[in-house]
Amino acid sequence: MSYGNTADFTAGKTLGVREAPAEPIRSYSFTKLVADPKRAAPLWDRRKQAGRCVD
Amino acid sequence: MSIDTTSSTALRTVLIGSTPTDLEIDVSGTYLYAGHLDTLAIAQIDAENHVVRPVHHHPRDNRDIAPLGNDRIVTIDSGQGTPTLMDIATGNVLDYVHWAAAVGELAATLRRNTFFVGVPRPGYRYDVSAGKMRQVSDELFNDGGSGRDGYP
Repeated sequence: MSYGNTADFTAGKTLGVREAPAEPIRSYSFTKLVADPKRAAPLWDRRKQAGRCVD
Repeated sequence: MSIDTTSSTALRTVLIGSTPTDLEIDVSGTYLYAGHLDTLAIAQIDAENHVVRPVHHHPRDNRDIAPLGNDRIVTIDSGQGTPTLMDIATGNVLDYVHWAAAVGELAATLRRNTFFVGVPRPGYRYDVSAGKMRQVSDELFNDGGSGRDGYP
Protein backbone atom coordinates (compact mmCIF):
# COMPACT_ATOMS: atom_id res chain seq x y z
CA MET A 1 0.00 0.00 0.00
CA SER A 2 1.24 3.47 -0.70
CA TYR A 3 -0.22 6.89 -0.32
CA GLY A 4 0.48 10.42 -1.41
CA ASN A 5 -0.71 13.94 -0.86
CA THR A 6 -2.48 15.12 -3.98
CA ALA A 7 -1.22 18.62 -3.32
CA ASP A 8 2.29 17.32 -3.98
CA PHE A 9 1.25 16.41 -7.51
CA THR A 10 -0.83 19.45 -8.36
CA ALA A 11 1.23 22.22 -6.77
CA GLY A 12 2.13 24.89 -9.28
CA LYS A 13 -0.05 23.39 -11.99
CA THR A 14 -3.26 24.75 -13.45
CA LEU A 15 -5.86 22.04 -13.38
CA GLY A 16 -7.50 21.21 -16.68
CA VAL A 17 -4.59 22.40 -18.81
CA ARG A 18 -3.11 19.50 -20.69
CA GLU A 19 -0.76 21.28 -23.02
CA ALA A 20 2.91 20.46 -22.53
CA PRO A 21 5.98 22.22 -23.91
CA ALA A 22 7.10 20.86 -27.26
CA GLU A 23 10.40 19.01 -27.35
CA PRO A 24 12.73 18.48 -30.29
CA ILE A 25 10.83 16.47 -32.87
CA ARG A 26 13.42 13.69 -32.88
CA SER A 27 12.45 12.87 -29.28
CA TYR A 28 9.03 11.64 -30.41
CA SER A 29 7.87 8.56 -32.24
CA PHE A 30 4.77 8.66 -34.39
CA THR A 31 2.04 6.18 -35.12
CA LYS A 32 -0.20 8.45 -37.18
CA LEU A 33 0.03 11.83 -38.89
CA VAL A 34 -2.92 13.86 -40.18
CA ALA A 35 -2.71 16.86 -42.48
CA ASP A 36 -4.27 20.07 -41.16
CA PRO A 37 -6.54 21.38 -43.92
CA LYS A 38 -6.78 24.84 -42.33
CA ARG A 39 -3.27 25.81 -41.26
CA ALA A 40 -0.94 23.81 -43.46
CA ALA A 41 -0.34 25.17 -46.93
CA PRO A 42 -0.53 22.45 -49.53
CA LEU A 43 2.83 20.96 -50.43
CA TRP A 44 2.48 22.28 -53.95
CA ASP A 45 2.04 25.85 -52.67
CA ARG A 46 5.07 25.60 -50.40
CA ARG A 47 7.23 24.24 -53.21
CA LYS A 48 5.99 26.99 -55.47
CA GLN A 49 6.80 29.63 -52.84
CA ALA A 50 10.27 28.14 -52.54
CA GLY A 51 10.71 28.41 -56.29
CA ARG A 52 11.00 24.67 -56.72
CA CYS A 53 8.10 24.29 -59.11
CA VAL A 54 5.80 26.33 -61.34
CA ASP A 55 2.13 26.00 -62.20
CA MET B 1 1.28 17.55 -31.48
CA SER B 2 1.33 20.26 -34.10
CA ILE B 3 4.27 20.16 -36.48
CA ASP B 4 5.52 22.87 -38.78
CA THR B 5 6.02 20.78 -41.89
CA THR B 6 8.28 23.38 -43.47
CA SER B 7 10.85 23.35 -40.67
CA SER B 8 9.92 19.92 -39.21
CA THR B 9 9.59 21.55 -35.81
CA ALA B 10 7.25 20.45 -33.04
CA LEU B 11 5.13 23.46 -32.17
CA ARG B 12 2.67 22.45 -29.46
CA THR B 13 1.69 19.28 -27.68
CA VAL B 14 -1.33 18.22 -25.68
CA LEU B 15 -1.57 15.19 -23.40
CA ILE B 16 -4.46 12.82 -24.08
CA GLY B 17 -3.28 9.58 -22.47
CA SER B 18 -1.03 6.62 -23.06
CA THR B 19 -3.22 4.33 -25.15
CA PRO B 20 -4.54 6.35 -28.09
CA THR B 21 -6.48 4.42 -30.72
CA ASP B 22 -6.89 6.87 -33.57
CA LEU B 23 -6.39 10.52 -34.45
CA GLU B 24 -8.42 12.45 -36.99
CA ILE B 25 -9.07 16.07 -37.95
CA ASP B 26 -12.31 17.30 -39.43
CA VAL B 27 -12.47 18.61 -42.94
CA SER B 28 -12.56 22.25 -41.79
CA GLY B 29 -9.51 21.86 -39.55
CA THR B 30 -11.50 22.97 -36.50
CA TYR B 31 -11.30 19.95 -34.25
CA LEU B 32 -9.06 16.97 -33.66
CA TYR B 33 -10.53 13.72 -32.43
CA ALA B 34 -8.60 11.18 -30.40
CA GLY B 35 -9.78 7.85 -29.04
CA HIS B 36 -8.44 6.32 -25.85
CA LEU B 37 -8.41 2.57 -25.37
CA ASP B 38 -8.04 2.17 -21.62
CA THR B 39 -10.97 4.40 -20.78
CA LEU B 40 -13.07 3.79 -23.92
CA ALA B 41 -13.25 7.55 -24.22
CA ILE B 42 -13.05 9.96 -27.10
CA ALA B 43 -11.80 13.53 -26.94
CA GLN B 44 -12.58 16.51 -29.12
CA ILE B 45 -9.67 18.94 -29.18
CA ASP B 46 -9.73 22.49 -30.53
CA ALA B 47 -7.11 22.39 -33.28
CA GLU B 48 -6.36 26.10 -32.93
CA ASN B 49 -5.56 26.35 -29.24
CA HIS B 50 -5.33 22.66 -28.22
CA VAL B 51 -8.03 23.02 -25.58
CA VAL B 52 -9.54 19.63 -24.82
CA ARG B 53 -13.28 19.85 -24.83
CA PRO B 54 -15.23 17.47 -22.59
CA VAL B 55 -14.10 13.90 -23.03
CA HIS B 56 -16.94 11.47 -23.49
CA HIS B 57 -17.16 7.84 -22.59
CA HIS B 58 -17.89 5.64 -25.56
CA PRO B 59 -19.61 2.25 -25.36
CA ARG B 60 -16.93 0.59 -27.49
CA ASP B 61 -13.29 1.06 -28.29
CA ASN B 62 -12.62 3.60 -31.03
CA ARG B 63 -10.26 1.75 -33.31
CA ASP B 64 -11.13 4.01 -36.23
CA ILE B 65 -12.78 7.45 -36.18
CA ALA B 66 -14.34 9.43 -39.02
CA PRO B 67 -15.45 13.02 -38.28
CA LEU B 68 -18.78 14.00 -39.81
CA GLY B 69 -20.51 17.37 -39.82
CA ASN B 70 -22.49 19.08 -37.05
CA ASP B 71 -20.46 17.74 -34.12
CA ARG B 72 -21.02 14.17 -35.18
CA ILE B 73 -18.49 11.41 -35.48
CA VAL B 74 -18.70 7.78 -36.45
CA THR B 75 -16.44 5.17 -34.93
CA ILE B 76 -15.88 1.47 -35.37
CA ASP B 77 -14.51 -0.89 -32.78
CA SER B 78 -12.01 -3.69 -33.08
CA GLY B 79 -14.00 -6.53 -31.58
CA GLN B 80 -17.43 -6.45 -33.13
CA GLY B 81 -17.14 -4.16 -36.13
CA THR B 82 -19.98 -1.97 -34.93
CA PRO B 83 -20.17 1.50 -36.53
CA THR B 84 -21.43 3.92 -33.90
CA LEU B 85 -22.75 7.40 -34.60
CA MET B 86 -22.14 9.84 -31.74
CA ASP B 87 -22.97 13.47 -31.03
CA ILE B 88 -19.60 14.55 -29.69
CA ALA B 89 -21.02 17.75 -28.18
CA THR B 90 -23.26 15.81 -25.82
CA GLY B 91 -21.70 12.36 -25.80
CA ASN B 92 -25.00 10.79 -26.83
CA VAL B 93 -24.93 7.75 -29.09
CA LEU B 94 -27.30 8.52 -31.94
CA ASP B 95 -27.24 5.17 -33.69
CA TYR B 96 -25.23 2.02 -34.21
CA VAL B 97 -25.32 -1.17 -36.24
CA HIS B 98 -24.16 -4.16 -34.30
CA TRP B 99 -21.80 -6.48 -36.16
CA ALA B 100 -22.06 -4.49 -39.38
CA ALA B 101 -18.54 -5.28 -40.48
CA ALA B 102 -15.88 -7.49 -39.01
CA VAL B 103 -12.74 -5.44 -39.55
CA GLY B 104 -13.99 -2.43 -41.47
CA GLU B 105 -12.18 0.85 -41.94
CA LEU B 106 -14.20 4.09 -42.04
CA ALA B 107 -14.10 6.90 -44.57
CA ALA B 108 -16.46 9.88 -44.80
CA THR B 109 -17.26 11.85 -47.92
CA LEU B 110 -16.33 15.51 -48.22
CA ARG B 111 -19.89 16.64 -47.50
CA ARG B 112 -19.88 14.48 -44.38
CA ASN B 113 -23.38 13.10 -44.83
CA THR B 114 -22.18 9.73 -46.04
CA PHE B 115 -19.59 7.31 -44.80
CA PHE B 116 -18.26 4.03 -46.00
CA VAL B 117 -17.27 0.94 -44.09
CA GLY B 118 -14.74 -0.99 -46.06
CA VAL B 119 -13.96 -4.59 -45.27
CA PRO B 120 -12.03 -7.15 -47.28
CA ARG B 121 -15.36 -7.74 -48.93
CA PRO B 122 -17.97 -6.37 -49.17
CA GLY B 123 -18.20 -2.65 -48.34
CA TYR B 124 -21.16 -0.69 -47.06
CA ARG B 125 -22.34 2.88 -47.54
CA TYR B 126 -24.42 4.71 -44.94
CA ASP B 127 -26.36 7.97 -45.17
CA VAL B 128 -26.35 9.97 -41.91
CA SER B 129 -28.03 13.16 -43.11
CA ALA B 130 -31.09 12.51 -40.95
CA GLY B 131 -29.11 11.86 -37.78
CA LYS B 132 -29.37 8.08 -38.03
CA MET B 133 -27.35 5.53 -39.95
CA ARG B 134 -29.27 4.41 -43.01
CA GLN B 135 -27.58 1.78 -45.09
CA VAL B 136 -28.06 2.76 -48.71
CA SER B 137 -25.92 0.14 -50.38
CA ASP B 138 -23.95 -2.90 -49.55
CA GLU B 139 -21.60 -5.32 -51.16
CA LEU B 140 -20.01 -2.47 -53.09
CA PHE B 141 -16.94 -4.52 -53.73
CA ASN B 142 -18.44 -7.96 -53.57
CA ASP B 143 -16.89 -10.38 -55.97
CA GLY B 144 -19.17 -13.27 -55.18
CA GLY B 145 -18.44 -13.81 -51.50
CA SER B 146 -20.96 -14.36 -48.78
CA GLY B 147 -21.41 -10.63 -48.15
CA ARG B 148 -23.38 -9.11 -45.30
CA ASP B 149 -25.35 -12.28 -44.64
CA GLY B 150 -22.16 -13.97 -43.62
CA TYR B 151 -21.99 -11.96 -40.40
CA PRO B 152 -24.06 -12.66 -37.28
